[in-house]
Amino acid sequence: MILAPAGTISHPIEPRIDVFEVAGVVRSSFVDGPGNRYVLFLQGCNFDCTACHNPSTIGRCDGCAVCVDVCPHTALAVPVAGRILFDPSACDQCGDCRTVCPISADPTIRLRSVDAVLTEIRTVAPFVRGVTVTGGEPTLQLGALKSLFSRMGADPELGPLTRLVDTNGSLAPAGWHELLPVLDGAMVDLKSGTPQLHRRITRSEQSHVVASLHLLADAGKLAEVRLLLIEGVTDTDVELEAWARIVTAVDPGVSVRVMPFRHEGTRTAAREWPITGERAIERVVDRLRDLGLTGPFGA
Amino acid sequence: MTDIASSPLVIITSPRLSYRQRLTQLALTAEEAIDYPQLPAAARRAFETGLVSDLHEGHAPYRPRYLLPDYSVALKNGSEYLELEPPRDLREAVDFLQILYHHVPSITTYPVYFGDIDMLLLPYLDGWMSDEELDREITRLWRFLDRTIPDAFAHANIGPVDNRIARSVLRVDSELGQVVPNLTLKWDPETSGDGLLQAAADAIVAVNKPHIANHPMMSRDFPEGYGVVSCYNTLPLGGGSHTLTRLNLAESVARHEGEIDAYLTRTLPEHIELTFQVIEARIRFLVEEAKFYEHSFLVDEGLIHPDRFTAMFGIYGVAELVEGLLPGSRYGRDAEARDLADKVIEHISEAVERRELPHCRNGRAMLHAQSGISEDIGVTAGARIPIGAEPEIVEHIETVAHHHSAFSSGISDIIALDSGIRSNPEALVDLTRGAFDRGMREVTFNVEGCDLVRVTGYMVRLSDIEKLANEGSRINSTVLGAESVENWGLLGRLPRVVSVETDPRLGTR
Repeated sequence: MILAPAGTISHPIEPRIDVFEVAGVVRSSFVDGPGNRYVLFLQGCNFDCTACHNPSTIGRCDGCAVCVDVCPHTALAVPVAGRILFDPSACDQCGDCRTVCPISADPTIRLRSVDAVLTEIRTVAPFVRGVTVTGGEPTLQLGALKSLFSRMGADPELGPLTRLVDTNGSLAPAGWHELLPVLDGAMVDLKSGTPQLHRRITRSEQSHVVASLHLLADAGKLAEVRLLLIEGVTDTDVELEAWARIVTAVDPGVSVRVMPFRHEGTRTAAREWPITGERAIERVVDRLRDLGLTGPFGA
Repeated sequence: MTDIASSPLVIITSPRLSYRQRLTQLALTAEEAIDYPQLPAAARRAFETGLVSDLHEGHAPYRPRYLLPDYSVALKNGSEYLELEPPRDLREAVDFLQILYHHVPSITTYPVYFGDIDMLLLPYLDGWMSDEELDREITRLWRFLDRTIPDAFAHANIGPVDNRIARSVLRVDSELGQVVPNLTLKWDPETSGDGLLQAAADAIVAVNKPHIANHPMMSRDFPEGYGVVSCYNTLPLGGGSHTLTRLNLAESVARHEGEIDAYLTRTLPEHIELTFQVIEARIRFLVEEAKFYEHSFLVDEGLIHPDRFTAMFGIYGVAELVEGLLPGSRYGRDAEARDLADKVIEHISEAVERRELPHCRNGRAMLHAQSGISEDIGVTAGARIPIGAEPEIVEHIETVAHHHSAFSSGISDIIALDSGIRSNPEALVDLTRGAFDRGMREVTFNVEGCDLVRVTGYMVRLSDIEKLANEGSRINSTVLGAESVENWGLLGRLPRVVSVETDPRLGTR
């Protein structure tokens, strides 16, 4: 179910705990955590990573209307009360509006109620082991996220499904404490070893992420720590040593996934970096082992 | 009648055929020299013009198409005919079975069924045998099967009870990566346990085997027990099928003029009856003229029972039929097309239930969604969604699942997965659970990037196909796989899958 029909306002500013701003849904995925999973992609991220492979999920539309004139299908219209009107029946998904958006947002993003998401999860429940909420940064929509997970837990059919988030780890401790009772695990990106590099490639502070890793591990809910392998950037000796030091202090036996960097979907600035070579992941995993991490290491 | 045989001299001098392959071809050529069993004129025309096909079973059937001997009877009693005492330990039991297999025919001249291999051997497994020793014994058996029965239609079954031999089979089979035997896991969501299914999933991402059967659903259709053989043919244990004759639904609808109702009430029933007439003629020849069942020690010693043999009524081209009757619709994508497919399948299923056949289990044939042969160009196998038109995976499974119950002698839908699943085989466990929850009778996954690929039910090594053109192949079915590659673009379109069942021509064309 989509809340905003054609030609109506699709972007409220006020946070609402029963509504998600949804960038996309994959009903059946085997790359977002253990087993087959229903995956909900939320719009909006508080990091601005150079390597982001889905940059149009970063911003949340502020109604600037630069996109309105660019749209070749007149699917977008001048904002009312600062918000874009969108007619999905006229849209052919060309993506021009996302390309021109100065804040990496998406004016076509729709709202979806927690009820609607639960209904859709029910249609795939026998096929999946759990639900992964990712993004964007899922914890930015904490109210709706908490509502979704707690209602799943209370539902006889959905109760057995595991509830994971795929997060940048920026959520404050108070936020985690609200979410933890209804969360089964978090997969956290630790994007660099040193705070300096973190600032450079995410334009955000690393210390919050490290604090989240400790908090989640102490609660037994740190499902995985991920490193995006950008050769010559995140895999230098200094970086890998610092990365391993942080993770070892959290838990040397935590699951680790080293992910390849690809150009698909990235912005121009990221194209200067090389895509991850064939043997590089193996090499980095070996190095992390030498530095005291025991894995398991996912591919 | 269709002349598919080559001249004896061409066969004898064919540089790419082994001695044994030449022998089989010569036998086929001799059989083709006999007149086809007597058919009514309309049925003969339907057969000659490609509406009805017997999948090149030959003019004068002298053995059933598929036999599923109950090997446990012989293991228990020994065999008087073969002068064998009952085996006393695992190695003797394996030797015993190897001897038996040698004497079991089928349409390919080789056996298509090796039995529920774990259940057959479990009584001989001593507690002191280590997993390593057990794996060595299974490896010996597996090597024997692959090297002496070079035909990937030959099938071993395991499960539904989790046990050490089933686990060993999964380990050894995925380690060896052989074409033979093909493998089916019988799995019961209530009793088999996720551990066994997980072990199967780990094997699938390595070698695209096993195929997985919904055991509770199958058991309801076969109270006497069942086996899965060849390309997803589910048949009674201790029995089999005299013939697999199929109706081309794409051709059927092409011959129809008029509305949908007229098709269902007039044309379709007519074509169904023509198919039955070919089936009946073949059964009568096999049973009454060739008298196979009167001259087999397998019958005398209770490994097979004539009254457990059925006939398989095959259909294919459901997609083309629906899109022919409903121009502009897309089977697999819209509800209207799906509902019409259901209606057609229901009509055929009822006709198969009604039509009495001589010498058949319960006096009836069993409906089968036939998975195609290499020469089927432009007609989709069975009731599958056409290659390239499949919706996303859950919708794909749901679209095909709800007609699975009608096809009691088997239906194949192959779910293609990209190689990313290799790092998360748990997802295969979840998808299988979902598929069975939705009523799928059986499910097969084809994972991109394996050397061993499933052409339909049977397996082909891509590396063998590459070698075939120059060197020939010791495995008969490699030729069929190569034809599929050529006719269906298999290599270029992986992980999409094409379908072929069987064709006795081994490269003499």
